[in-house]
Amino acid sequence: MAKVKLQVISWLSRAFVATEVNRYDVELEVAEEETVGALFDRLAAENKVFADYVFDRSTQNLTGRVSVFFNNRMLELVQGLDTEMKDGDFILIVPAYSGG
Amino acid sequence: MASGTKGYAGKLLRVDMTTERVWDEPLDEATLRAYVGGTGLGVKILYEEVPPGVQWSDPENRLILATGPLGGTSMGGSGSFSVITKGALTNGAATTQANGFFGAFLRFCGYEAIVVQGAASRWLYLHVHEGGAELLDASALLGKDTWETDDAIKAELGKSEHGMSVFGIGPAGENLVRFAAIAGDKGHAAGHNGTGAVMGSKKLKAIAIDRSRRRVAVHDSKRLLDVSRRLLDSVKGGSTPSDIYSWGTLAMLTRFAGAGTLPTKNYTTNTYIISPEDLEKYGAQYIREHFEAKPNPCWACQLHHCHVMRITEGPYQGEIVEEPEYEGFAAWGPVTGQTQVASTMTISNDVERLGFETNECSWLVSMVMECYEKGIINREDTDGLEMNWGNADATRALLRKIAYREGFGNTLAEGTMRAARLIGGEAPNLAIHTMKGNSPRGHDHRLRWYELFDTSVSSTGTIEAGGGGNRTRFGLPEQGSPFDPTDVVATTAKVKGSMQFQDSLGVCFFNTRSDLTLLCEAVSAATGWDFTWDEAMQVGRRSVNLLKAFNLRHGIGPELDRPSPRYGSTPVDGPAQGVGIMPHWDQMVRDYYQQMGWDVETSRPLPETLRSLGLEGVVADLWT
Repeated sequence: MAKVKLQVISWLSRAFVATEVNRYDVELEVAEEETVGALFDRLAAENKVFADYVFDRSTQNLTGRVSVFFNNRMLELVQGLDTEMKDGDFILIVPAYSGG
Repeated sequence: MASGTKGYAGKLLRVDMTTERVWDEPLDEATLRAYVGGTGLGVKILYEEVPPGVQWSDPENRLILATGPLGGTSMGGSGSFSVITKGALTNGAATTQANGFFGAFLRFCGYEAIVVQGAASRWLYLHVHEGGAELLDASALLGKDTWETDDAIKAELGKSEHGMSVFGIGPAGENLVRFAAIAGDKGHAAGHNGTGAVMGSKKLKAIAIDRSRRRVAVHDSKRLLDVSRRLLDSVKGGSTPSDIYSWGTLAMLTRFAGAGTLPTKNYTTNTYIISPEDLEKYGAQYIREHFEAKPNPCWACQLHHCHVMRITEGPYQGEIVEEPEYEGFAAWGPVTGQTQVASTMTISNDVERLGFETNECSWLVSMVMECYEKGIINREDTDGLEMNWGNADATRALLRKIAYREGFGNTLAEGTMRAARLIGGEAPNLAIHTMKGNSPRGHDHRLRWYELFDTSVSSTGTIEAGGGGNRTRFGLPEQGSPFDPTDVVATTAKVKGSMQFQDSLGVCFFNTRSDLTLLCEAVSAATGWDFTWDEAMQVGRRSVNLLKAFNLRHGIGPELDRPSPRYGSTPVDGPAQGVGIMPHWDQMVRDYYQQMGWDVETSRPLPETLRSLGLEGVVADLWT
């Protein structure tokens, strides 16, 4: 097993905690070489908000409503959801937004 | 005479500044159905009434302020309006929007739009009321900033703070600064592409509209209210309250700081160096709690968005400011190397009161700061100002010099692209702008290729394809591929038209979140038409193609569909380090033209494209 850190910024953090926080940090156990997509599928199965806003289980893809960073690199610029994780990796999820 | 079409006030207000004459003009239902209002209606008028050869500052240019069929209704944020003109930065088409009360009050006085032509020999302002409108002497308003102008007109006409909506220009517009905005209702601006300079060229200081007790009759008010409630529920975010409902755009800066995606120091880095304590002060909760926030909502808006505040810390304590949008926080925070939130908010407010557009203004100042750091300019060039990153006092002083075109400010008043060329040396390689001459929004678009590409190929020099809502409805995959040139082009081409339709309605984007399906239902409820998603996109595409045709006829061709060297540069650090868009650019542009139904070499909309949109007359303009 490996341990990865997941951080969720902004209102989306309330997918995991009910209180008014703007950041949620958690350490998760993953299988060696498990992909980000497989981890997100597990999280979406357990958490409806995660399924609604982050990962669509029916398409096995991101919803387009978030930006995901893997070890401070945009997920699309590594191997996307096929990126394999190892111990100490860091995943950041930020709600996408334009304009303002 | 009104059109009689349900859901419409039905008239245009025509204003000739040269002869100081105003008159009403009816709008027919066929025009309203084809162009709807706002941006659509304004683009039609611009195309038909401003022929090639007319420059932005010529009296023959038109300045059009238009709302739409949802303006002043039960829809949240329905005080919005569009400004359409030939803009001062690109000397091409300009369409830009503002929120507040203006759009609603205009309709309550019986008008869908104001069309200003000519140029006066003396400074005037326009007063619109239930009985019509008249031009009044504005000599006492000269030199006043946008907030002072608002207060002075209300005092002169005996109106309370919310008894009138005033949009006008500050010193920047009076002095024809190329990125002057039209600002009003203390906190709102229709700014992109030098609309305020156009207003200044006509010697029109402001437009003031009474708050009439009349309302616009809609076809089915119960159905419209139901749509309004569903949109509000959507904005609230259902089970998970969204930031936009609770905080407006206030929460975005710290979010992007956490991701390392902020536009920082003129795109020289994505690393915003700031202490954790100072960064926390840019957070939404700190700002609302520490700066004595008082709600200042727009017409019919229930979002916890706009506020007026008082600066309670730092050297500018006591100043009353409007809560900046994300764009203002980015502009006068990381873009210019500022790390003190109170300074950021104070400078942002200066920008609005002097009457600038904040994006262009910040890319200009950040370019000056980088030039100063690199020795391309020195204190002698800047009239003694030490333009170091984050120097708030120097920034405030420089803004005043630009607004009044004093010394170095006169050079900078020409906007980022032209000022860089006037400074010379390496400056043009540092300046962030499209090659049409307008600057981008306040994100680092090098990490957002959709917006970089859209901004660069748009006819207005700013974002034109944003906000389409559900991607699958456009035939796109649910999840985009933001660094895939093929997906970026397809997304831009397929979504284009959506924004123009939304901007034709007179309602705020923050309240509707680009839900085209519900917006079509709202238009149907307001007008009695059976308005469909496909018809909405036709309306939007009509505007897009008219804007393109307008620019081509006015000398803006495909060679200008590019970013400046710095705008299109490859990030040197951050989460997209080493990945640049330019190796793909030429092919992307050709693919985009092809997917838009335009000639791949000249970008001219093809005759069949124009005919499919009912633009037969434009075929002759472009192809004979």
